[in-house]
Amino acid sequence: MRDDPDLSLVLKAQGGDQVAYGELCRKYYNMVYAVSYGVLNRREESQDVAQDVLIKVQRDLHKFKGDSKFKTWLYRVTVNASIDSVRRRKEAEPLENVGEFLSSKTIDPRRAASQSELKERMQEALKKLSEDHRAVLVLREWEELSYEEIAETLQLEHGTVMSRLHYARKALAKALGLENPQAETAI
Amino acid sequence: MDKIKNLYQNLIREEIESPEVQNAKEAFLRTHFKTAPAAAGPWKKTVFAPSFRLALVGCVALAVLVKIGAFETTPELPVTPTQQPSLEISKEINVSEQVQAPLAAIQPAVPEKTAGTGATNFNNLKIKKLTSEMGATMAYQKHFPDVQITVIWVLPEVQKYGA
Repeated sequence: MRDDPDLSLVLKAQGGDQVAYGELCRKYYNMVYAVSYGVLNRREESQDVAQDVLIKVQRDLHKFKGDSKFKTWLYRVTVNASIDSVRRRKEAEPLENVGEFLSSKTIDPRRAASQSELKERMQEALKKLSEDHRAVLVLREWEELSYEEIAETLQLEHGTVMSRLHYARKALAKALGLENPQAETAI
Repeated sequence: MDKIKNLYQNLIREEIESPEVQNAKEAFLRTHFKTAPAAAGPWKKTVFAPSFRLALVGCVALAVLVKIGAFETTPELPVTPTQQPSLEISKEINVSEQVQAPLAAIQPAVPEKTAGTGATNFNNLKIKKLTSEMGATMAYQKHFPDVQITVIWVLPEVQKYGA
């Protein structure tokens, strides 16, 4: 079992200690919400998913065997729940045309944009990305996980993580009018 | 790339720190998960804290019982917690004799003074010494206009008898 800073609380929670699980929830609520919001890009849906995840994790805590850190396991559960939620939502909504977005949203880079405009453009660009790309993006840019950690969390190949991240950044750069985004050195 | 990262982080940070999200978080945690006693809310270390409430109720109940005289005892009846060899309390208070009396007979509410019949005379009952192997004993008497009630308590020792 790896060196996990949450192990003590997890073991207590597995033994039925409500207070211990409450502490874990307080510690990780923001993280779960951020990842969920990163994937879903919708507040209410993200709140629902985040809270569902924390309840589900408590119910299924006995399944956690310590093969990975608790936090990594929680990332995985959160991303999977968020992606499932997006897919359920898509079944009820018309599919968005990413290709159309990439061709139509190109802006003039010479035009200086305000912060609020940039934020708005980024929101729009994020909506056009797939949930898989957004999941990699939030784990890398917000949670600042390494490629290896993202690969472990999402159970993907290292190369897949890199290519998804490259695609997501390229789409955001294009939407924001930032040309020639430099490739990030893999960690 | 740094600009994208910064914009992205600002976007997520603003979202997490928004009052609506934080309020939802607190409501969720409060509703679903217990917190450690030290952070259990504004009542900690006050007389209104849950741990004090039971003691408060107990004190109030005790005060009410004292007020109504529930613990009144006659002074000459000592509590004898010491264990001594069983002492026959007295022939006079053998209650079973009263219970075995024919049910059909009209019984007075309390035994009458029937000298010479062998019946028990409770009205003049005086207990000089009262002990029990079971544990501590206590007795008290209550006087009414036409009757005197004598109540004897035997408090079995928990360790011995698991009462």
